[in-house]
Amino acid sequence: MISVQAGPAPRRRLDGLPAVLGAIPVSLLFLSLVVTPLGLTFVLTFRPFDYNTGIQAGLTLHHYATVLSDPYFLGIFWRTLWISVLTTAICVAIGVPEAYILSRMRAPWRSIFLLAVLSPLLISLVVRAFGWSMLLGPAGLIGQAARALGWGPLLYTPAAIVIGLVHIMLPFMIIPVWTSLQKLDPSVEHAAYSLNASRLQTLLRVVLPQCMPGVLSGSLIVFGLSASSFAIPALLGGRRLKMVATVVYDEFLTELNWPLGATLAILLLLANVIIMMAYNRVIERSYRRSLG
Amino acid sequence: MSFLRLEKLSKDYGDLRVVRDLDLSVEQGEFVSLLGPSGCGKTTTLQMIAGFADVTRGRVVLDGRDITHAAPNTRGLGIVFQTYALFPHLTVQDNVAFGLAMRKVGRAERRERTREALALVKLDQHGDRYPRELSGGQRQRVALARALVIRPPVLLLDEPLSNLDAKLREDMQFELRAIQRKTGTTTLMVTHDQAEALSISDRVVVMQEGRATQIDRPYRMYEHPGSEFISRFVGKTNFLPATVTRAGARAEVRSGELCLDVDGQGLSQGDAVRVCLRPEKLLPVAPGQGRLTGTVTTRYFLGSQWLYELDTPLGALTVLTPNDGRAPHDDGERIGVDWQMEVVRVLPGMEEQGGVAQRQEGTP
Repeated sequence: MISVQAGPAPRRRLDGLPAVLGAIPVSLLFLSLVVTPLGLTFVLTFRPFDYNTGIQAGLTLHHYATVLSDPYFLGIFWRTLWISVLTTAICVAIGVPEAYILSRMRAPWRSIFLLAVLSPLLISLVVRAFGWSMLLGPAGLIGQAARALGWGPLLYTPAAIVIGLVHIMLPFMIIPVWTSLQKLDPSVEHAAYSLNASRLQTLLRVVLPQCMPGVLSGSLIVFGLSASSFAIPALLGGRRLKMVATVVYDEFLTELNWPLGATLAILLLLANVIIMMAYNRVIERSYRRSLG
Repeated sequence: MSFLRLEKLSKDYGDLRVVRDLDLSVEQGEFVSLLGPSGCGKTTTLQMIAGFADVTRGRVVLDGRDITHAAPNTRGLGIVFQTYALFPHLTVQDNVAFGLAMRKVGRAERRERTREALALVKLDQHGDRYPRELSGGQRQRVALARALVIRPPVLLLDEPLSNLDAKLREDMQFELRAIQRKTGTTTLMVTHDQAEALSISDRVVVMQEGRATQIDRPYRMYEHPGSEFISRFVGKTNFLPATVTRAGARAEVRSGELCLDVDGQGLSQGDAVRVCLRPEKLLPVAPGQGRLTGTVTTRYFLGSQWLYELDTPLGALTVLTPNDGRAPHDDGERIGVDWQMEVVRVLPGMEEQGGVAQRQEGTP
């Protein structure tokens, strides 16, 4: 997805028949499981729909017009965007220092804490979401604390969604940053100290810029996963607070308006792809020469 | 009063004594090398001076100021790291200017001094490049410019040339010395390469198991090594086991048939000693003439020199002669070996430290 990190030295290339044969299994998998459903969904967006008769034959742009002109849907797109951006920003703020501390730890502790960081990935997302809903709910520890501080209820607010998303996404930020920190030459920091830089200056001007490729690829992953997340907004946002993925679910399974649901899904995919590609291009341009 | 002084400097890692009671005085403008095999504590010594390793005992005094426990970023020393440790995300120019920016040097002066430093290492054309776009030798120069631009009182070089190929290493050696002469910066270099240490230093410190075993000018170090280890480590040496047969101002030592008249200082009758002969001080002569006769077992062509392995009644002997255009001796040929009386060195027969000699490979 992102090519800012230096790959291993190029291996001998495979050409001709072996290459074609080798590519067949993955191509079949990709064609049958990704391209076909995506193509069918895309075709579906142009089908007229009637609540009495269901999906009709023919082509129309009616659903696109509906989504792009209805403030309800636009509001949901906007909320999805800012929640994803905020989640990404918080993941950067927490994940980068955490990865740095992790990379500074000594042998036994580093593995233990790395496992602690990664352990959430081993637990089902739904279980974790329910865990948060108990904590954030009116009877939960954090929910009660928030009420005592006068912040009002937490569960079923954007704050709950962001908290849940940050918790889920943090490993996806820490791992790429940690990887790029691993590649850092420890004497580079010594060099900075020898040139009179303070600890903070060294962190900000020497260490951080060098792990920027990791930060940026981590934020791409976190943003992409957050924008299309379903379980967390569904369970922590409740019935009323929607993000795009939950609206798609509603259109398909509650309203049974498949073409509208498909249109929302395609527009989400499109927005996600455009944002991530633009971001990737900016990164590549600024780091290609220096960090390869 | 010396400029940089190490007083009984010691470093322990648990029970392991990496550096032991190192005393060293470096004068202003002097170029001193710490020479030793890997694991002898030379890099640890440098790190203690730089402040990257804690000092267990002893003191580091720079220009009258005790910096033993000063933070590394307050010492103001210029350091060139073995890996160069350039900032990969900054251009060559910004790498060099980094130290000046940290010292809050004004923009105009910063630019001027950066340009000067890059000109000094002949890289003024490459200021806008990134380190990864440079060759190894060029990166080395950037590292040197970056360390020198802050006008440090002392320049510390940690194996600066070990990552360069042989030809470049030789060129950089002389250039390093020329730059050091020009700037007059007091320099301490760590190296395991004796040729490097001898060729460019004012003084060489041989380190062995955490101790400085000899501190001398390169020529004296080579001509009068203090121990068998130093003799082997600094250049090649032939050793002949011998016994002192007559003590006095001039002593007589005997090794098999060979009887040598040497300086008798420190020798007493009956001592087991080792006679050292540098291979390049041995002259091949006609068989039967000279002090010894032997058979050539192998010869190696080194370009400017010939290296002969001889089999003599006293054991194997290595002879190094200039390639002066005359026909070399063939394998199996019998030749005589002669030498000047003054080139003979006598060392105590027993190494005080066991296990030192076995580190040496490939020396006769």
